[in-house]
Amino acid sequence: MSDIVESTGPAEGGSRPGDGADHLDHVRPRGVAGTAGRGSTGGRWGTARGPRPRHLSWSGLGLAVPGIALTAVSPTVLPAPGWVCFLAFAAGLAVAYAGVARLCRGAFGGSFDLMFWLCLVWLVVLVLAALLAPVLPLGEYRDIAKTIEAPAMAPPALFSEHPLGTNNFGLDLLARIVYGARASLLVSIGAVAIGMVVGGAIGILAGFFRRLTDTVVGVFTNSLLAVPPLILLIALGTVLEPNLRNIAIALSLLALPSMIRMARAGTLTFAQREFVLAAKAMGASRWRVMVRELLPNVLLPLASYGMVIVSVLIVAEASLSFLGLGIQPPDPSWGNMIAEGEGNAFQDHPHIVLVPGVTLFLTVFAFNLIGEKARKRWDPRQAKL
Amino acid sequence: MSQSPLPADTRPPAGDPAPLLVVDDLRTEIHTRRGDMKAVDGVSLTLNAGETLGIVGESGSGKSVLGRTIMGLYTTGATMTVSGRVLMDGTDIHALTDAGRRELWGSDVGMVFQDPMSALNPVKKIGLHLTESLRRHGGLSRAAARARAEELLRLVGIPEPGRRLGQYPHELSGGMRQRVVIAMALANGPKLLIADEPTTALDVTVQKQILDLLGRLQAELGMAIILVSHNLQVVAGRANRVAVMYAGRIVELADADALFAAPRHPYTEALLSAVPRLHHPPHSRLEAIDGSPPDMVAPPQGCRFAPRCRYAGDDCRQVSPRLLSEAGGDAARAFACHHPVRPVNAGGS
Ligand SMILES: Nc1ncnc2c1ncn2[C@@H]1O[C@H](COP(=O)(O)OP(=O)(O)O)[C@@H](O)[C@H]1O
Ligand code: SF4
Ligand SMILES: [Mg+2]
Repeated sequence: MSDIVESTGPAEGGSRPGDGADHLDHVRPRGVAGTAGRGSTGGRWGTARGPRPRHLSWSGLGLAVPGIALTAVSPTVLPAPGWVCFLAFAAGLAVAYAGVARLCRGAFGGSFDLMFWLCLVWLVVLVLAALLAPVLPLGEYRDIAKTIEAPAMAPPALFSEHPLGTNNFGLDLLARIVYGARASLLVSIGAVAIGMVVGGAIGILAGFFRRLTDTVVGVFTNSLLAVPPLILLIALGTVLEPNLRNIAIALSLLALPSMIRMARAGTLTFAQREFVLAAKAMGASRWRVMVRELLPNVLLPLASYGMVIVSVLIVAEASLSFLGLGIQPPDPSWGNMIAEGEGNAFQDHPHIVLVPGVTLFLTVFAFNLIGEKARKRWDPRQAKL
Repeated sequence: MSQSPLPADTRPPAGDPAPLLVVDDLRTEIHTRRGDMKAVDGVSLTLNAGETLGIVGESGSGKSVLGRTIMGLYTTGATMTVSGRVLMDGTDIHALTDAGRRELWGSDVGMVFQDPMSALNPVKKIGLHLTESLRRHGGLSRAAARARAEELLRLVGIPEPGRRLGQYPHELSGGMRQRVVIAMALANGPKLLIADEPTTALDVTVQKQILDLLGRLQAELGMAIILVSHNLQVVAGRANRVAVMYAGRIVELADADALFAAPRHPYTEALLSAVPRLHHPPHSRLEAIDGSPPDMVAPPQGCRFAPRCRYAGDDCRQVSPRLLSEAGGDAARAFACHHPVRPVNAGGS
């Protein structure tokens, strides 16, 4: 029996291609996935025992090249109405994705999850750009006095001075996206960190001591959940000065209830495991049991859930800024950048909304996908023991 | 009847060293939603240094609660009430402060748990499991604790102990994990080891290895062992004395040899006849006893085994039998029954 439980390691590896398929179903038809899986590594065991060496997938190449070409050509060169261009662009993207996915599975093994890596790369690039923003050769993002000469509402043109275009003051959108990422990421990651530390501590205490502590925490959590999040934020927005710290604290209130619940549930689960009693039987104090035995077990699921929450808070921050309660212009945030498309700007210059909108979408999608993947792996209910 | 290998008397004659452990009328009531559950209901026993006491009984009879109460892991608190005394080397465990008990745990008393899967923290390396208590109780340096940990793993028969220290529990097999749990319990040279179903979760082939290991360690280190099991066969040949538990009470206490040769309590007899072979599929062995143990929130009046006992008479349902030695019989043997089973071979003593 012990051996069956132990073998979760390899079995998990085996389930990975399936996991990937869950996320990719809407992009990649099942038939293609099936043949690719068999063709590249002979299936179940992924890279660990793949009998087939690394190889170049010709079918992948055959899809990738025209896909990429179509994607590149459709928005600019194609002489057709806008929606046709858009469909061609989307189709090109899908075909290119399917092709590159095959190529990668051929090159890195059958369990290679392209979507996961794309999301990871996106987040890494975004975080790096946000961190390095002051030293990057970006256009002007804030001071409209310096952009009097610059063209206003310039459309995106990849190899020009303004790759993503400019807004109505001639401020560079790429620069604003990057500086907006600083605000968005700082605020939402900071809020999740606050939520994780405070909520995690409260949750572990509640789960460990039960009884009165648990009841009090339960009432607190439920009352926090009973207030609609947007109303809570707007209420706070009216009394607090909208700076990064205050917005992060306000947003952390949204993360708090779920963090408390996660930590409490994890603590309840793990406190019943014999290793907690074993630690006591070895003379560990209650404090030690909480910090050394429970916390490390609760932390992993909490952190992976934090990834998912980050995506929610990015949207929440954007909503606040969109409503004018968050980051105040001219300081950029993705939310207030989208708000610049109010009125007729969106009809005439869709890029004003699309650039921050797509960035927001991609970031939320990436945090979600990676967070869900991590959560599946570290869910306390299926923690491998 | 065969003779027991050790002095049989439960109460050592005057002049002998005092017993290591004295349990006196121990009661553990667990407060549940349905009422107070008398999980342990008046247990008294003694254990000498270096001796092995087996505690057997169906699951749910209160063996684990007894073991944990003896250890002081279960004390009077919000969820339970403990009364009676547990004297360890003359110290009343339940009169100690929390800090005093923690001092005792992991040094004088060690515990081995039923399920080695869950008795080790999945995110802590094997080394840390061992060194934490070595450093806390023994005040060893990091390096000394590591060396001692390696030595302990070697002692419990784990190959390549140095490499194991850096592994996580899930990288070890069930048997290896149980050896680690034993090594943890032994870390600071306990005088008493409480092994609560140490083999129940293991494969049959591994069970014997672990039990043999406990025997060898006892011979080498000389600690006393309380070996708890629902399976009489686990205890057979390993315990000097056996206490049979039913519904929170000891119903028969005797030298192992005497008990196996001729059970006097009807419940012991039923347990024995229900356990033919070691390689029986688990959980099938007790089906030979009809019925189930009583509800411990509201136990029946009189003998608690009466509803399932084939010797039961009217008196059994009225008066609760006390755990007594038979007048003129084996003084080391006690049972709680109005109509004990006749010894098959009456000429034993
Ligand atoms: N923490 C607890 N809360 C409520 N009931 C418990 C608790 N621990 C044990 N019990 C109950 O006490 C009785 C004895 O349990 P236990 O000592 O585990 O039996 P055994 O070890 O002999 O199988 C059982 O009926 C069990 O349900
Ligand atoms: S006292 Fe009566 S009911 Fe109880 S075990 Fe003995 S004979 Fe059976
Ligand atoms: Mg038990």
